[in-house]
Amino acid sequence: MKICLKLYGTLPNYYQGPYQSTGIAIILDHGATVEKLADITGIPKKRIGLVSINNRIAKSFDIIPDGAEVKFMPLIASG
Amino acid sequence: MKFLRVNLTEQTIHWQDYPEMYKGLGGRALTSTLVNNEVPPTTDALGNENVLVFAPGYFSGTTLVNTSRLSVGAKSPLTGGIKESNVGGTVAFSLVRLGIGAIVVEGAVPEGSCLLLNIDKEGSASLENADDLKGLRTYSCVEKIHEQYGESVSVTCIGPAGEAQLLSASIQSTDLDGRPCRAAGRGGLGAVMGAKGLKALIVSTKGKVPVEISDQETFKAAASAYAKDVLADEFSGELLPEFGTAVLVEPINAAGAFPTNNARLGQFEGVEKINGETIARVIKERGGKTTHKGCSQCIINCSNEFVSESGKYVTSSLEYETIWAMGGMIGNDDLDAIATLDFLCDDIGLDTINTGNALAVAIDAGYAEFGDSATAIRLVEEAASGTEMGKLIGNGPDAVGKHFNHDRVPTVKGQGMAAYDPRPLQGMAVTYATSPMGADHTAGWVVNHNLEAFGGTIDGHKAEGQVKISRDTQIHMAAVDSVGICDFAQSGLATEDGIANVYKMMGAKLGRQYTADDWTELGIHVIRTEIDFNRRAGFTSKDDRLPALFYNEPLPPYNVVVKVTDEEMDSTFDY
Repeated sequence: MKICLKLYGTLPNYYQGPYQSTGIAIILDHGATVEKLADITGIPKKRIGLVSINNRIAKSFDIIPDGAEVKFMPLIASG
Repeated sequence: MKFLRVNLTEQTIHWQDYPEMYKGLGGRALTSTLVNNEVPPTTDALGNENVLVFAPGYFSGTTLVNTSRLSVGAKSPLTGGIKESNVGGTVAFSLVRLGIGAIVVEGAVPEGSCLLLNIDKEGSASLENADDLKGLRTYSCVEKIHEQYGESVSVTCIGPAGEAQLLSASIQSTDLDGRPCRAAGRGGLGAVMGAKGLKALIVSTKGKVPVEISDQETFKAAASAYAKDVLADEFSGELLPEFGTAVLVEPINAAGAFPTNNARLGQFEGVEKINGETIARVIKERGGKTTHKGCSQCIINCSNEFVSESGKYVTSSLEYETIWAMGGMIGNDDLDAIATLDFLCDDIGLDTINTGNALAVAIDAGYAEFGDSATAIRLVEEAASGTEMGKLIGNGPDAVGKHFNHDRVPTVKGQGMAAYDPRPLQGMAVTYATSPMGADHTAGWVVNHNLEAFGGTIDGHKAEGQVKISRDTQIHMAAVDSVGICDFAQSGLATEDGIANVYKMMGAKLGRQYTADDWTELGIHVIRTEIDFNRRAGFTSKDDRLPALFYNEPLPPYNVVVKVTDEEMDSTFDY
C-alpha cells in the first residue's frame, strides 16, 4: 500500500532520502504501524514528538491505513 | 542593588536600599509580593492607589544566558486581580547593570500631562516632560526618543491604547535592534501606565555595575553547564532558531487544540498556509531573518524578522500565539495579514492574544465573516483612532461579548485564553481556570505531558492526573518567572542535573545552601501571595471556572469537553 508522509520541523534533515515539503510517497506492507514507518524512514524515534494519521493523533502502535497522510512532528516545549 | 521609587503625583524620585523583606526575591516574586503589600486590593486599578512595579528577574544581569526578563506587576484593570506580565528585550539586563533591582511607580500625573522616566548611564534618574511623545505609536515614540537620547538606551513605553487606558493595552519594550516589538502584553498593564501618565521608561544600556554574587566560581560553572544544556536540546538548540515558536502550529493543530473560529473548531483548514515551516520558507524567500536575536544574553535566537514581498520590514517577531490569535482564531490564513496585525498591535500597544480573542468574539457574534482579515485590520486600527467599535476591541473579549450580548467568550477572570484549547488538553483547563493571573498559558504549560506519541504520560482528553500536573507546573513556573529565566531556555533545567545547576546558582548568589525544597517554597510563596491578593479583592472559587462553552460544546475533531470537575479545580491550590 502507498501512503504520504509529511515531516515537520527539522525532521526532514534526518530522513534517509530526498524530501519535498509536499510530502513523500512511501510503500508499506498492509498492517504496518507508525513504529514500522519510523524505522523505514531512519528518523530517530526520540526526535518524533507527535504523529498524526489523516489529521488524527496516532500512537506508535497504531496501524496505518492504505492511502493515509501521515505527519511526523518534532518534540515541542513551551510556546 | 537599589529600589527606585517614583511618585508621579508629587513628581519625586527616591532611592531606597533593597528592603530586607524583599531580599532574595526578583521578577514575579518581587512584583507580586510588593503589589500585595502596597496596593489596596479593592482599589481602582486605574486609580492613584495602584502601583506599577518593574522588576528584573533574580538572575537578570548575571552571566547566565537567557535571563533578560523584566516582570511588570500591578493590580490588573482587565482581571481585577493581581498581575505579573513579563517581557524580554534589553531592559531587564540594563536595569541590573545600573544597580536597580526594582522601579516602583506610585501616584499619577495630573490628567492631560505626560512624563517619561529617564535613567542615564550613571544611574541618575529624572522625570521629564513627554508632551511631545503624547499620542505617538510605539515605533514613532522610540524613534523620537532615540533621536533625543541616542541609540544606547532601552525604551519601554506605551502606545495610544495605553494612553486611552484600554484594557488590553500592553507595555512594549525594545529588542536588541531598538524596535519596540517585545511586549508585556497580558492583563492591561499598559492601561495602568497610561492612567499614571507615564509614557516611557528610558534606561541606558551602558551601565557597568557588577552583580553581587557570593560565590562567583560556583555560579560561573553552573551557568556554563546550563548554557550547554540549552544549546544541546533539540527544541531550544535546533527548532527555535530555525522556525521560532511557530514550529508549534502543526503539532497543536494535529492535537485538535488549535482554537479556530472563536474556538468552534480544534483544527484549522488553512494551517499549512500559516505553519512554522511555511513562515520560515516565506521569510527566507523574501530576504527576512528566521534566526534573530531579540533579547540580551540570548543564545537561542528564536526571534524572526518578517518582511513583505518587496523585502521591507513588517514585524518582529512573528510568534506562535499571535499566528494563532490573528490566524486560526479569526479564521484567517493570510500570512501577510497576520504579520500586519502583529505589527499594528505592537505599534498601538495592544496584547495580541486578547485582541485576537476580541476580534474572534465580534466575528462570532455576527459582526463580520471568519477569515475577513481586512475587517480585522480596520478594527485594530480603530482601537488607535478611538471609535466605539475600536474601543470595544481594545477593551478585550469580555467587553465585546457584553456589547453583542454574546456568551461564547473564551476568557477566565476577564483574560482571553491562549492558543491551546483546554478541551483536548485538560491540564490547560486547570491552568487557565486556577491561575491567579486569569487564562494564562505560561503560568502552567502542560501541553507536552499530553502529546507525546512515543511514551506519553497522560491522556489529554481525560481529567485524571491533570490537577497535579498543572499544580506542580504552576508552582515551578512561578519560581522560573521570579528568577527571570526565559520560557524557551527551560531546556537548561529540564533534567535533574539541569535543575541542580539552578539551585547551585541560587545558592551562589544568595550565599547559602539552596535545595529543591527552597525552589518549591519560592513558587508556593508567589502563588499564595497572588491568591491572597485576589481573595481580598473579592475573588472566590467561582472565579476559577472556565466559560460554559468549554463544558458544553464538544470540540471537533475529537469531540471532547472539559471533564475536570469544580471540586478538582478547587483542590489545585487549597491554601
